Parts: sequence; C-alpha cells; structure tokens
Amino acid sequence: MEQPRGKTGWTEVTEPGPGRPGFGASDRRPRAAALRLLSTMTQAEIKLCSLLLQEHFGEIVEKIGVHLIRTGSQPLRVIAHDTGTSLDQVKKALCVLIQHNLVIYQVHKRGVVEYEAQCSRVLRMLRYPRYIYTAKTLYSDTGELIVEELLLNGKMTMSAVVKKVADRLTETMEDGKTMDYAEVSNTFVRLADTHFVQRCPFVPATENSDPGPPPPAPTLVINEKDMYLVPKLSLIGKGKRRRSSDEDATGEPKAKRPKHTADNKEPIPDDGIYWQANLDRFHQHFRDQGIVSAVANRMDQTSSEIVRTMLRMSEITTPSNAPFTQPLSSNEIFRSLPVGYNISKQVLDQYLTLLADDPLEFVGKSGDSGGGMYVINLHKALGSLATATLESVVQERFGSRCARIFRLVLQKKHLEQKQVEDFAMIPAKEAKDMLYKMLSENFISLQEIPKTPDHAPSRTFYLYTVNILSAARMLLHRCYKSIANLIERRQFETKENKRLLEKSQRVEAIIASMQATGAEEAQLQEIEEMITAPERQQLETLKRNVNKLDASEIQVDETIFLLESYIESTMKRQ
Amino acid sequence: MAGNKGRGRAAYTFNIEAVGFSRGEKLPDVVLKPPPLFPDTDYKPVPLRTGEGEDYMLALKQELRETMKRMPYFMETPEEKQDIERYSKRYMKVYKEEWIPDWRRLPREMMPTKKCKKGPKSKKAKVTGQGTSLTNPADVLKKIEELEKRGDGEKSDEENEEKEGSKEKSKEGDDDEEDDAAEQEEYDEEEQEEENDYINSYFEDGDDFGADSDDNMDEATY
Repeated sequence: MEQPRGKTGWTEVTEPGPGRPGFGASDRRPRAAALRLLSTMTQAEIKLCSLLLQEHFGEIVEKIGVHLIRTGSQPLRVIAHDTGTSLDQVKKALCVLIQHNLVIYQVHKRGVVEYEAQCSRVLRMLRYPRYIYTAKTLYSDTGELIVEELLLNGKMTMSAVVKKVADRLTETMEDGKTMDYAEVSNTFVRLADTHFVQRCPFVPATENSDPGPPPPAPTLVINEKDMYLVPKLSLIGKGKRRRSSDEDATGEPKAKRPKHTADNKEPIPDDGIYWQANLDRFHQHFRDQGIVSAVANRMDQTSSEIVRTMLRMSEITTPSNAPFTQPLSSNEIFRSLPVGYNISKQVLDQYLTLLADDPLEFVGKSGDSGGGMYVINLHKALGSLATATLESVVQERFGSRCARIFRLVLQKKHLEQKQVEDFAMIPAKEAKDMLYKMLSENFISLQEIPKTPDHAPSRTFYLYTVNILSAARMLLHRCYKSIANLIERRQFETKENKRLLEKSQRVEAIIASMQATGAEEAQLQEIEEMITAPERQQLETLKRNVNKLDASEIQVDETIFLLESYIESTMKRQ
Repeated sequence: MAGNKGRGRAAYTFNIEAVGFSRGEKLPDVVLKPPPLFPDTDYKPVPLRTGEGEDYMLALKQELRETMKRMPYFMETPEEKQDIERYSKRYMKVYKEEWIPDWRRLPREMMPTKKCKKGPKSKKAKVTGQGTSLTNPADVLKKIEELEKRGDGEKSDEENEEKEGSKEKSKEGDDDEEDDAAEQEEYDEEEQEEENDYINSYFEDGDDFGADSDDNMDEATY
C-alpha cells in the first residue's frame, strides 16, 4: 500500500542505513531529523524522479540522486558509503547534478559540506519539451535553441550559448548561408529582458588578502537587479558547419571525430557569468495561457483577448505568486489592446462588466476610477481550473451522473445522503453506489457533525463534502503514478523489442556507410530487405505505441502543472 | 464507525439509514484481496489531443531523450560483455566530448584526486580524463612526489593557495583517502596516508563526521 504524504511529516530518515555496523545513520540522524521538518516526498514522486534521472543521466547519477532525495542533506562521504559507490563516481555524479540545478550544497559548521537534492526540480525534467516549444512560439527557432541548450546543459555562459546556437542554426541553413552571432545575441537579450533566462548565482570576487585557508565551498550570491543583466559582449562571428561529411541526416556520429580542440585556448569574455532557464517565468506564461483559454472556452474570443491584454500588462508589475494582479483601469486596458482589435470603449466596458459578473470570478472589479478598475483573480482562476480538472476526471472515470453528483456537492458544499438523492434526482441505490465509489477514491469526503458531545454515531450528521485542496493533492499523486507507469511501460516495450531495434539500427548503419562509399541502388535494396515485412510491421507497432505513451506523458504533465500551481497558490494563502 | 463486532453482529452502533443502507439489506461483500493489477474500467479514456503543437513536442521529447544519452553528463555504467562482437558496433560508437565543470563554483572536495593513471587501468577515459586533462600531468606528478616525500599536507595547501582557482587541490586528510578509487593499491595507500590524517586535518572531528569511521575501523570514534 502506498505511503501517502508522510504520516507525521518526518522523512524516512530515521531508518537505519543499510549494513552500517554501530555507527549507523540511525545513531546520528534522529537527533537532527527530529529538529528539522523536511519536505516529505511520496513514494510515487521518488519513483518518478528515479525514472527521470535514470533516463537522462544514467544509473549512477540516478542512484546518488534518489539516495539524496530519500535521505535529505548529506555529506560526500556518507553518500559514498551508504550507496556503496566509489568516491570518484559520487563526485562526478554530484557535479552533474549540481550543474543541472538538481542538487545544491551548503557548508555546515566545521567545514562539512552537505548536499541536498531538489526533488521538485527533478520533476521539471518532464516539462522540458513544453518549455522549448513555448520559446519557439515566442522567439522562433533561435529562441527555441537557446532555451534547449540551456536546459540540456544546466547552465552556460552567454558566449557559449550564442556560439553553439549559431552553429546549430547554420547546419540547418542552405549551403553557403550562416547564422550571425549578432542575431543570436539579440534574441538572447530579448529572452533576458522578458525574464525567460536568468543569471545564476555567482562566486563573488574576493580580495586576495584574505588570510587563512580557503573555504571548503564557495558561497554563491545573486541579487535581484543583477539577475537579468546581460554583460556587454561584442560577440562577432558566424556559425560554422561541421566540416566532416560523414554525418548523415539521421544524426549518427562519424567514425572518426576530431578531439575537442582549440576553443579552450581563447579567452572567454564573460567567464564565470552563467545563465539558466527561468522556469518560474515559463510557469507564469503557462498559467496565463491556461486562464486565457479557459475564458475563451467559457465566453468568447474577444473576452479572452481582453484578459490576455490585462495579463500582459501585469507581467512586470505583479509578482507571479500574487493572488490577484494590480488593478488596471478600463482606460489603460483600452489603450493596450492589440493593434488589430477594433472594439469601441463602450463595448470594452460591457465585456469587462460581463467578465466581472461571471460566477467564476476570473476578473474582479476593485474600484470605479479611471472608467472602472479591474483585477484578475489569479488564485481564484487557478482554483477554478483545478476544480474543472477534478470534475472532468470524475466524469471520465465514473460517468456523467457521478459528475452531476460531484458538481452538486461542490456547489452546495455539504449534503446529506438523502439530500444528494433529492437534488440530483437519481434513485437512492445508484446515488449511494456512486457516492461510495467516489468516497473510496477520495474525491469526496465525509464530514461528521455530532449532535451530542459524545459523538455517538446514531446521533451524528454525516455530510458529504468536497475538499478541493485534498482532492487536488490526491489527483496529483495519481498523476505522478500515472507518468511513472507510462515511462515504465515505454521502457518495457522498447526492451521487448530490443533485438529488433538493434537489428534495424545496424541495417541503417550499414546502409549509411554504404551510401557514403557510393553503392548502387540494388545493393541498398538488398540490405533493406534484411528486415522482413512482419518485422517492419512490428517496428511500426512499436513506434506507434511509444508515440502514444510519450504523448500521454506530455499531457499528464499539463495536469500536473495545473494542480501543482493551484496547491502552491493555496499554500501561500495559509 | 469503530464498533466492536463482538457478540451477535447484527447490532450497529449507529443509525444505518444515515449512511444510506436500509435495515436488513444485503451489504456488499467484504473485500479479501488487493485490487487487481489492471482493473477493468467502465469508460474508455478520452483520446489524446492532437495538433501541431502536440506533434512538435512529441518529436522534441524523443529527440531530447536521444540527445541526453550522448551528452557528457550521461554517466554510462560499464557494459556487460557482448555475446557476439558486432561489426557495426564500430560505426555506432558515440564519441562524447569531455565535460569539465567550473571548479570555482563547486566545493573543493569535488575535485578528483590527481593520481594520473594513464594507461589500461583507467576504466573510462571520461572519468579519469576529467582530472588529467585539466592540469599539466608533469606538474601533477611532481607535486605528488613532493607530497609523498614530505608527507606534509599542510604545506602543500599553502602552495596551492598561491595558484589560481582551478588548479587548487584540497589536500585535507580525508581527500588523500579518496584514492580508494584506485583499484590496485587501495589498502596500501590508505595505510600510508593514515599518518597524513593527523597532520593535515583542520576540522577532523570524529564525532560529527562519522564517515571517517568507514575507513579506519580500528579507531573507535566516539
């Protein structure tokens, strides 16, 4: 049976470390753990993190990462001992994890450096395709590649990014054309200005007069105003194509590859200034997208454009975790509408009134000056989106009558068994069945209201209610399990067909090398026939299944985003 | 509803009608085993969303997966011996660029020890190459010889502090013990460097840093 979010809130840290005679983790940990309330990670989240780390960085990094997620903050030696990995490998794994912002370090007293994993950041790896695609829609291919490089490498200097992206873009261009560094730089600056990329905390320059031994680890600092400051670089140059012609379109590496050369010798102008993708900014964008499309679905295109304008105006003035945006006057909104939009002021006012009156309360009216002051209720909007998700899940899992009961209980807040039957107009037996089904899956909960102080069951009201926060948590947990299942199934499918996949790869490799050395069509045909028709069929089926599983992962991650945003927003209120 | 079902089960402690069952009605069976692994669902799931964006993200995802495997950050585990040597393996070998982290941003203990092992002993060029490619091997060898002669870690620390950032090596006592990564001379090195422990340590505190007890089982640290 799965552990729900830790019973008491302590982590599993109090378990004794494996095979540690006497001086085990159990001796030291309880003292420390008893005084620290670490954020617990459910089994499902840990499992998912494990799968993600393994797919992206290999088993060694996965072992170290999962160990840190389970046990919290630990020093280097303890990690090596507890995981039974050589110190060298632990170091390399930690370097990789730190580079990708998945692990942070802290210097404790007596110079001990402890490493802590950021579990929620690991889960963000699921969302990389969405971040990259968003960058593409906003800043086209150049922006897309910049964000992709930053995500793939964790952190990079601007000059390195610009060079890499220019090279990659040049590869895709026609012969003779190259991508100029200046153009890539411009896009980078735009990304920084709109906060989609940000500076990493850096090592402050210290004077050499500092006596005594150097600290065991540098303290990295960054302040708000430096975070989006682009260094003045004059990056001049153009992207280069890779010289060798052995590479073919499938991206297979060449048989002989020159060693990574001379670039190390050039001085890097912005050495030490690293950039990373600002995931929070992307999340803000996704949230805004969600709200706009919800308004479009519920009302019409024009309303959604108005809401989009309001959100755009608030991007800079409102912090992303505020419950509602700064008030905007109707006049301001009118002036900021997109250029092509020809609606008159009165029509705009009508729309705003309509939006403010809508029971979903996405938009609220906060005053009358300036033609009417309006805000967007971000928290309420997230709540509505989360609730809609819950309703949709109930409908698809249990049927539309169940959904009706669910919406009813949501609306009326607390209902007795009898009342549910009456209001929903569903026969008692079925209503009871549906309620218990939803109850057993924790979409609905029972609230006890005792009539007498002794809480006697015969004299207690039992009311059905929906606690949105806990239902959202439950659903989120299921989403994590779903994605873990999807990944495992995909890996299983791939493994099942491993022999066939390898064969097909070998055939492709042979064909590629034959093409490079100039072979006749007939010979190539012969090689291709090494894969029989039923095998091709099998490969087709595999591809289709893997695509489906991958696409499902992406879609479940969207739900995860919604639920996590809502839960986070709610927790901040409390 | 914690009633004890002691003598004669028919008596409920509460009004059964309150939760919707009528008296004497057949209650559902008690479930005696865990739910099935792949339960039947009453309703088929809604088909996945399709569209340009979704297709693009799908392609991106699969591409990223492949790309990640080729990046230097992906640490391979040593492969099991293949049963048959495949000719095409030669054409499919992936040459990975080495990645060298910016040591200035990392704790000093992260730097690999500079025992250069050029030769067949190093399992993977990537892992050991990380250390050797960074510093001048001649310098490093010289340094190590010096250190082993003198056995004085503290002095070498001072020397190090004069050098610029990335060439810094932490010669604190426990770092010397990191050579247990070296397969052959594991035990010998540890024995040798035990002496250095006492001389080097700034902060060695057996109580707090229980990890030390790993390597020196004969010292009871309490």
